[in-house]
Amino acid sequence: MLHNKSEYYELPIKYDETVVRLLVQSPKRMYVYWDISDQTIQEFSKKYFDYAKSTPILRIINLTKNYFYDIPIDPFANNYYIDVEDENCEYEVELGRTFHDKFADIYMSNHVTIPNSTPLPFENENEEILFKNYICLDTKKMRVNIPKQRLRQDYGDLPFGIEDNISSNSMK
Amino acid sequence: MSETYIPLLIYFDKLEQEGVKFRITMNISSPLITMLDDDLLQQRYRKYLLERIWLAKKEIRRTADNKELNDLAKMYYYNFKEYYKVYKNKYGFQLLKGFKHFQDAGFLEILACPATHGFLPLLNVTKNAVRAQICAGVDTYKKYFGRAPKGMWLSECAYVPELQDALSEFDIKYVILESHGITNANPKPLYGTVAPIISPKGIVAFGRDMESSKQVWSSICGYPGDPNYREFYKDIGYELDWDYIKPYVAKSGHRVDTGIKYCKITGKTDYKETYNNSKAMAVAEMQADHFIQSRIEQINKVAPSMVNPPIITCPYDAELYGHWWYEGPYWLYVLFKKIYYNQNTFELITPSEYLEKYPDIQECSPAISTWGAHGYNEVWLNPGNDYIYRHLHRIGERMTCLAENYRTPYPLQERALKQCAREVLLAQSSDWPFIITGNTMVEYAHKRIKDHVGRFNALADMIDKNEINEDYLEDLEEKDKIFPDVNYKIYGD
Repeated sequence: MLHNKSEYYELPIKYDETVVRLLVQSPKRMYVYWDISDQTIQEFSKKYFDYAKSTPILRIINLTKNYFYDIPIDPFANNYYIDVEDENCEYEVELGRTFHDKFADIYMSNHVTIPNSTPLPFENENEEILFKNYICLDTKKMRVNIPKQRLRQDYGDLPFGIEDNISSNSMK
Repeated sequence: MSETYIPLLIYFDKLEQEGVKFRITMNISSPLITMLDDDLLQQRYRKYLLERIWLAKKEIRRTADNKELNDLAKMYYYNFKEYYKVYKNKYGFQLLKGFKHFQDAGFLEILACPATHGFLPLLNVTKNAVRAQICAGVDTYKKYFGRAPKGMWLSECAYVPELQDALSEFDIKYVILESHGITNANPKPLYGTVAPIISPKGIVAFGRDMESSKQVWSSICGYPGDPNYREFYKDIGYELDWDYIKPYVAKSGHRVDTGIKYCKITGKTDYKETYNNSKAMAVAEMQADHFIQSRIEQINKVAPSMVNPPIITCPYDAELYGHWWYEGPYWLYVLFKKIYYNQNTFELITPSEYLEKYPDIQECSPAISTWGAHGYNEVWLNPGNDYIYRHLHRIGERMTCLAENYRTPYPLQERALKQCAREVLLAQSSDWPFIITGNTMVEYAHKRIKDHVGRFNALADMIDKNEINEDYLEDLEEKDKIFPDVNYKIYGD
């Protein structure tokens, strides 16, 4: 029985796999990390240009509003925080490199949704509201009597639920 | 155990004996279930309680000249003896029996939780890693409570729409979200957090009510901060003479909490007065009245304009009740009685009872949200802890490959695959990035990540090389024995 045997592990510095992963931190910021395999580097050099002499770029793509912009990054960096302007949008990040004003892609990240940080405006003010039955999952439109003014006032247009002093985690 | 779970069970029992119809919904996580069912921990806790009884007895002698302290020492002595009696005689060291009883009797609804409280939105780049978290949580629940869970407490209330498929797959009907998970939903819900919403794929979301949350949680005006309540941070484990207290603190020689505390909060001052339990109980009773009155006002304001009656969802950390807020379990007991006897505006209800009664729910897509600071993912993803995700994602993906590649393993290989799945689940616990951000046991959290990732990688290499070291595997099985029946195949589906 080797129970209590001492163990010591260090995390691998890299896995020699090409990946680009995009994560959401908040409605204002995303986090991206990447790893480039030796094989990808060799292929890039063969196909495009000397890898070491090209410049790494993160191409930030807003899929919802259909625009992109580039951020040059340090060749030694392997992760980056990206501030975003537009909430309630889908984003992807493409890792690539530039050389002689050309851009060559290496790997596309997963796509993420940057959430809206405030309530959306009310829609369908005078229309029927969609209800779903939780048991049979049938949907039906119902005209309901809602004094919207009052309810809207009650829960306002503030992003509530995010005050630090009432977060459970601030108690621990 | 002594401050939250046993006191809660004692009060649930009293309510049942007194014929009070109460309802409460609790999550009992898989690690907690496993620990409550563990022989070694049961024996340790039994010994711990006996030691507390001895310590309280010694305290009665030590405080003989001070009536106030002496009364408190007697209170602790009586309480510890009662806890021991309940633990040993009533439940035979199996507190889960108690929770199962109250669920089966209809007073309590127990929620499942992702296996190791994995922070799902940040694990979701590997879909099967999320499915495995939910699957292992649901399987543990079924094993111990003999039925499928209806609701799930999402770790840190963290929701993204991509979770709907995995929740549906395991027949989870509802989740509870932070308020802005509802108020920021699309389309904007008509009733804010006083009505549930249902997602396009049929997952119901109840939103945390802010007003009642504030009344309990606020560090400025929350109930637990009343000056008459017991002060958490003054414990005889830190204050009495070392030779006297040494047998009752950590075997490593560190002073720790003993659970015997004589001071009240008093105020924002280092000077602390002696705690008076009767006065504290009276405060709890008044606060219960205040809570009820506030809910009545809230309900009267919104109910007339709603299709279904409003529901006010008030989630709190279980450990608040008794551990941080010593009088919390008593407050709940009094609250439940007063709700039952003293008013007829509202009644307690569990989320699934509400859904059975009022199944037509406005369809909206709940918003991405968590109940962490600032409402999103910063606590679990920031420059202090972001390094973990490349490793968590990598082991999740490699686990998927292992499950796909070894579909008909021989017995030793199967044991190794199961252990790999356990290491993945353990590495994914949201506690590790939380601890790093909280700057508490940071080195411990870093080490846990390294250990579970390291163990996984070592075992996965052995499987791939077909060179499984059985001694090594056995050692890991002994160290990380949670989820004995883990369904590793789910990673390969």
